[in-house]
Amino acid sequence: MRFQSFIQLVSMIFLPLGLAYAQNDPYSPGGSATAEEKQLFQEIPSVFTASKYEQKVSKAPASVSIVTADEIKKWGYQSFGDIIASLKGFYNTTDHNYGFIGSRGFGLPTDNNTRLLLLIDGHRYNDNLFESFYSDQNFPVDVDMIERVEVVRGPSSSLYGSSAVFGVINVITKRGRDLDGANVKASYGSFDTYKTSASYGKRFNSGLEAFLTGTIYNSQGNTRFFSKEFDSPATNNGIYQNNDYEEAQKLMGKFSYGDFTLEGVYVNRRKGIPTASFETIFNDPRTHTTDQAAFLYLNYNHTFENQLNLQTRVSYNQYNYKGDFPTDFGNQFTPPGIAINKDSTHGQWWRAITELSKVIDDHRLTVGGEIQHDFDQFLSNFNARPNLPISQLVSSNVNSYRWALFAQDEYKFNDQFTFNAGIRYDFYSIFGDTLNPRLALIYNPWEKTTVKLLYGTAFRAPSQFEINTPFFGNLPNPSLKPEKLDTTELILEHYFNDHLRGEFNLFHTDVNNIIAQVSVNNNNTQSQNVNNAESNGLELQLEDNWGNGFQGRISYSFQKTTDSKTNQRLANSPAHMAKLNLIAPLWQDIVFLGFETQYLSSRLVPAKNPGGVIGKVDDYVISNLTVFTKNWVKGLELSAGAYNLFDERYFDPGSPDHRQTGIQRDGITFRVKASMDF
Amino acid sequence: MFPGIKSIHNCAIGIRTNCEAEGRVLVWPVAIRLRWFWVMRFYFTVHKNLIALIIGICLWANPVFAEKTSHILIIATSNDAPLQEAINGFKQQVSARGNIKFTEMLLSQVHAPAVKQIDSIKPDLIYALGVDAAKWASLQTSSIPIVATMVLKEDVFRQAPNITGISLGYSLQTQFQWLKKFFPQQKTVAVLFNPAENAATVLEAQKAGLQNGFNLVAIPVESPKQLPFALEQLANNIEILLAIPDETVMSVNTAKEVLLASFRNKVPFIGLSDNWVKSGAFYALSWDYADLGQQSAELALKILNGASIKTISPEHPRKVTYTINAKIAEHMKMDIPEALLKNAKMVFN
Repeated sequence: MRFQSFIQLVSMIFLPLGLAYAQNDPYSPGGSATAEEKQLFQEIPSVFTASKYEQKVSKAPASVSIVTADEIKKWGYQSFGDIIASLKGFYNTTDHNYGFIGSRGFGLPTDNNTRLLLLIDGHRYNDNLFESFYSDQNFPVDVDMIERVEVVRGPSSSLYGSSAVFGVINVITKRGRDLDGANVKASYGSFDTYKTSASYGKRFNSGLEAFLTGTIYNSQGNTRFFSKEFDSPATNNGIYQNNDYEEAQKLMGKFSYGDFTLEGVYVNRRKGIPTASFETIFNDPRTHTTDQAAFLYLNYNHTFENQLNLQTRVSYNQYNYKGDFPTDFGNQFTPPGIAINKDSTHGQWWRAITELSKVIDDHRLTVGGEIQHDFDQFLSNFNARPNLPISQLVSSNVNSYRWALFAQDEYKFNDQFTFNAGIRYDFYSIFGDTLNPRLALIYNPWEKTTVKLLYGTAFRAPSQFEINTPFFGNLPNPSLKPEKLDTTELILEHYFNDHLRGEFNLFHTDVNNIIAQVSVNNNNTQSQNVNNAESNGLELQLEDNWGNGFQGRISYSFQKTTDSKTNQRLANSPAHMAKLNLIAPLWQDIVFLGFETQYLSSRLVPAKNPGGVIGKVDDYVISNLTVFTKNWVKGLELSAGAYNLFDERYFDPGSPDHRQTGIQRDGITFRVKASMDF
Repeated sequence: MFPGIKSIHNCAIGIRTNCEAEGRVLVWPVAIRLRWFWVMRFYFTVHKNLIALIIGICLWANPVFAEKTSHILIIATSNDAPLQEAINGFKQQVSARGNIKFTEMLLSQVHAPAVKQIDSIKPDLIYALGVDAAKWASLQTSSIPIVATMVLKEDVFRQAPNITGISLGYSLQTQFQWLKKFFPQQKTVAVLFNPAENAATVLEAQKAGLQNGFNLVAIPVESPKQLPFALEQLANNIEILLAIPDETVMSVNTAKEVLLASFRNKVPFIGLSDNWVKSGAFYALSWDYADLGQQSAELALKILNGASIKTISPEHPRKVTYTINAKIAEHMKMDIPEALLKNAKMVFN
C-alpha cells in the first residue's frame, strides 16, 4: 500500500545518493579533502531546553531533536507545523482553520495543542484561556526568524509545569548579531500566497544588541475547497468558494544590554473557514476567526563572582480571539433566520519567574519559583443579527492565579553514571495543587553509547475554556481536575562514528483524567474528567551529517495509543510513521537540494455524535522538494520548493464539530523565495 | 622522518668528510699528505704568497688543531611535521658554527634497550622539543644545558636552572595587540580559566587587556563539569573569547563544547593553534616553526660559545604568524581586513 510507496521512494533516493556518497566519501582514496573542515559547520548536538541549561544531547534527561535555521531554509519549511512534522513521533494536522501537532499517537482532533508546551526564547507562550498555541500562521514567530528549535519529548512538568505533557518545544529566535544589518525576504507561492518580511539586527559597540522584524503574510487559500459531505445543489455542490484565505501580521523586537533583555512579540491572524464547521452556513464568506497574541518580557540574567547564576523574568501577556460563525437558527429565533454566532474572548496575565543555579562539586543545582496572575480571562458567545439586539449572551470572566516552586539536581556519580532528578509543586487557585517529579538515570557504558532510563509525571491544568465553555447548552464545571500523565522511557543512543548517530526509544505512557465534553441531562453538555488512555511505542532514528554537505535522517515510529476502557485506538492516532529527510549539495557550497518524505498510517475519525459511526482516513505518503542557493551574490539567497510533490490526495480526521470525515489537505503546491542581506 | 638515532659528524665547513656513523673508512690523513705535496710544489713553482693560506687550510683540516666538536642531543616529543621543521631550522643555524655532532632521539624511544642514555651520549647541550621532552631532559640532568621549544607554557623554564628556550606562547601584550588588529571595535573579552592553574596569567592578562583597550572578563572553571555553565555567559555580554593554555578548559575533550558555544553565540573564539582554527576558532596566532628552530639555535650557540645558561632568559617567538577561518568569519558576519587575510599563514575557507 502507501507504506510500500514510501519504501520504494526511499530506495529510489538512496540508490543514487549512495552512489553520490561513495564518490564523495571523505574516507575513500581521492575523496574530498575539505570534508573534515566542513564538519565544523554542522550543528554539534547540544541542547538547552531539557534541563534549562546548555548540555550535550546525550546528557539530556529526554529524547531530544534540534532543527536549525540552516535546515529550515534548505528543507523549505513554510510553517512551524512543517518543522515539527519532520521529527520522529510528531505529526501536524489542520482543519483549515488551525494547525495542530500530534505527538506519540496523541493528537485528538482540534484539541488546541494543550498537551505540548511552547516556549519562545524560554518564555512560556501557551495562553491563559485555552492553554494553547497553534502551528499555522498563528504561530507567533515567522519561521524565517527562528535560529533553532529544540524539541524535548516526554513529560517536563517537573521544570515547566502545566502542558509540558508530551513535550516542550523551545523556539530560539534570531538576535541582532545573527543578522548584523538589514534583511528583506519575499516569497510567492500557490494559492496566490505571498509573504514579505523586513528585519534589522545589530550588536552595537556600546554593548546594546537589537533585533527588529516584521512579517506580512497573505494567502487566498484553496479557492474551490470541496467537501463531498456537502455535495448537493443546495450547498453549491460541495464547493466552498474563496474562504480558505489567511492573513497574518507579525512583529518582534528583542533588545539586550548588559544583563538585561527586553523582548516583545505580536501576532495578528485572520483565517477564513471553508469547512462549515459547527453547522455554520456552507459557503458563507463571513465565517472566519481572528487571533491576536502578544507578550513583552524583561529578563535579568547575572552570574555572580562565585558563579551563582540568577535569572529573573517578568512578563506581560495577552491573547484575544474572535470568531464569526453565520448560522441558520431557523425557528429558534424570532423572527426566524440567520444570525452570526460570535465568539469573543480576551485574556491577560503577568508572570514572574526566578531561578538560581550553581555547580557545586559534581552537582548542578537549579531552584526556582514562578507566579502567574490571570487577571483577565473573559470568554463570551452570542448571536448577532442585523438591526436586532444581541441575543443569548454567555460569558465568564475569571480572576485566578497560580504559583510554583521547583528544584532540579544533576549529579554525576562518575564518568559513566549521571543521575538527574527534578520536582515541581504547582498551586492553582482554580483546582488546588499538584506535584510532579522526573527522574533520569543516564549511563554511558562506552564513550559513544548512552543509555537513559527515565520516569516522569506531568499535568495539564483545565483551561478556562473547558471550565466555563461559553456555548449555549454547555454547563460550566468548576470542579474539573488536571489531566495527569506518567511516562516510563528507555532510550539508547549510539554514535557509530563521529557523524552517524542512532537512537532507539521504548516508551509507556498513561494519561488519566482526560478532559472531554460529555452529554449531561436536559441535552446539555459539560467538560468532565472522563477518559484514561495508554500509549506504548518505540522510535528508531538514524541521523548523519557526512560533512561534505550531505545531511539526513531517517526514522520510524510505532505507537499504540488506546482508550483504557474500550481498548480502541484514539482518533487521529497513527500506528506507524516513517520519515526521511535529506540535504544534498548539488554544486559546491552554492546549490543544495532538500528532500523529505513522510508516511503516516491510517487514522480513526471520531464519531460525529455519541454512539455514532467511527470513521477512518487512509494512510499517505507525501514528499517535498526544495532547491536552495546562496552566495551567487553576496547576501542573496534564493529557493524554490514543490510541496506534496506527487500530488497525493490525503486527509486529516475531522472532529465532531465537522460534518466531514476527512478534511482534505492541499495537493501539489509551489513556492519561490528570495532573501537579501544589506 | 626522525630515525631512532642518527649521528652526523660534521668535520669541516664546506668539506664534508666521511663519517664513522655512516660506516665509511676514515681516509682524511691520506688526503692531508697529498695536500702537503701540492703545497711544496706551489711554493717553488707558482705563487709564494699562497703559503699562508695553505698552511691555514692544513691546520684547519688537521684534527689536532681543529676547534672542539660539540655534541648536541636533539630529543623530540613526537615526529610531527612542525617539530621536524623546527629541528631542520635549528640544525641549519647551528651548523654554521661548525664542529657540531647531532644525535636525534624520539622521546618514545628513550627507554628502548638499544638506545644510549644521556650518561653515555654525554652531550654538550640538549635541544628538547615539546613539553614532555623538555621535562624528561630536565629530570635526566641538572648540569647539561637544555634549550627547549615547542612548549606552550613557560612553567617548564622555571623547573630547573639549566633550561631555557623559546616558548610557543606569545606574550599577552602581543596577543592583545593582534586582537586589536582583528577587532578594533570590540571591547569585552572573556577568558575561561582554572584558577588553580592560571590565576597569575589571568591577572597579567587583565593588565595587558586594559593597556590595549579591552575589558577582560575572567570566568573561572574549576572542573570540566562547570564548563557548560561558564559557556552560557557568552550569550550576553561577551564579544570575544580568548583561549589561554589551560588543561581544564582547553582540551580535546572540551573543544566541541567551547567551539559550539562560540559558534552559536557568534562570539569569535581566538584559538590556541592552527588546529583550533581549522575546527572553528576565528583565528589563532601561529608559528614559523623553522624560525623557532633558528631562534633556538641562537640561544644554543650562545651557550656553546661559553655563555652561562642562567644568563639566558626564555624568549617568546620573534616571528608572529596567524591562521584565519574565513568560514567562521562569514558565519559571524564579521569582515576581516584584506591586509590581514593576505598576510595570513593559512586561511580556511
